[in-house]
Amino acid sequence: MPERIWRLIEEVWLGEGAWPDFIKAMRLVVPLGGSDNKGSDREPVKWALLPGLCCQAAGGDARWADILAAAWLLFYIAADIMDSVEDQDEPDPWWQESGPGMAINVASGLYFSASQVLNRLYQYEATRLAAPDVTKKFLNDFLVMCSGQHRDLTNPEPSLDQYWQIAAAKSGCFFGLACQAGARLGTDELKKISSYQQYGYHLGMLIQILDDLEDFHGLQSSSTPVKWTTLKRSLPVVYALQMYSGSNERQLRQCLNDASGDNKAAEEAIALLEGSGVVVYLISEMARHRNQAIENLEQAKPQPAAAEFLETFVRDIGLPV
Amino acid sequence: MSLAQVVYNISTDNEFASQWNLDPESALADKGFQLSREEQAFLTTGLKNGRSGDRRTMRLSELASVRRSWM
Repeated sequence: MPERIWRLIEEVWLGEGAWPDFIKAMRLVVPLGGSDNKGSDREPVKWALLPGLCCQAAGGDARWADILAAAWLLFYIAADIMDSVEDQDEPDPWWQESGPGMAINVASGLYFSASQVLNRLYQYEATRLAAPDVTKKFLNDFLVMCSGQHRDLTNPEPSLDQYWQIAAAKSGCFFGLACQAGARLGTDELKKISSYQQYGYHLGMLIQILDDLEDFHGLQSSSTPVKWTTLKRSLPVVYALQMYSGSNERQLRQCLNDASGDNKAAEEAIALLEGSGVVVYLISEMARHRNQAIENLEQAKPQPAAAEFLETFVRDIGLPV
Repeated sequence: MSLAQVVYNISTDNEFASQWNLDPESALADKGFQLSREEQAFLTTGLKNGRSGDRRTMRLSELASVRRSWM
């Protein structure tokens, strides 16, 4: 991540009235530079390259999208914190002692910081014209994301169709936004902008599938505890519960309920999931989103240097799909 | 949903799986399933890659390790 994006965030914090101890708290969760930083998760930083790459790919200068990258990254981290609190996950060390109130306040600070960063689009010649469109799009897509999160929270056992609707509203929408907004700064050709949005959307869906698989990694290693409560709303479980009926469905539900404290039930749950063909289903869906991401990228006719990076994001998935 | 239903049937119904291997179009028609050409291609990819090096079906935990190598 370019240093200038970190500086931009710092400038907003220092220039817009945040108090030093609050800035220190926000620095803890933004995984960029800075001596106070303890963030270890590098994923958001990697994905914050998307606006710049899409801007460059669409014919602009990647630096024009610094503001978008900074705002999108702050929104990403804020949403991630809110998600943890709403899902009642184990607290991160930085808010373990003070409780979820502190986490919500830091997330709120990041939301407002992101909005202040976005306002800077109006200050520069290269971004001024697109600023109203881009700002509106950010806010609209956040309403869609919150709607998806609301449905996720109010529907503990979604159907497969509902699962995909929620994933599209949350992950697909957010990654589509990063790419669409970046491309909008590089071109005003609507068809191209839409292709970049679709590229980002499918990348986001791919990331959602992989995120849902993360908890299953713990099954292989005794050192990583398996979070069965999270697994119950993951794509593999949603798929299997939708497909099974009768005794298999009842057995899977029972095993999922007992799995936390019962290794035999956990093993049986995994066997039932795998017996439903879930691995083939997940790889087929990953192939779908990967292919559609690449197809949309090709339709956008991107500039070669940036296109190579964007294509690598979806090609380097580790599966020969 | 169709793709999910076809995958489930291939995984749990040996007769359907054998018919799919011989003639996917007629296997789908007999069950009343509809898949686009693209979906058939994605499923073929899923079936081909849902196996480990020793040709057994890949475990969920093995697929999950893909995520770690990618992200």
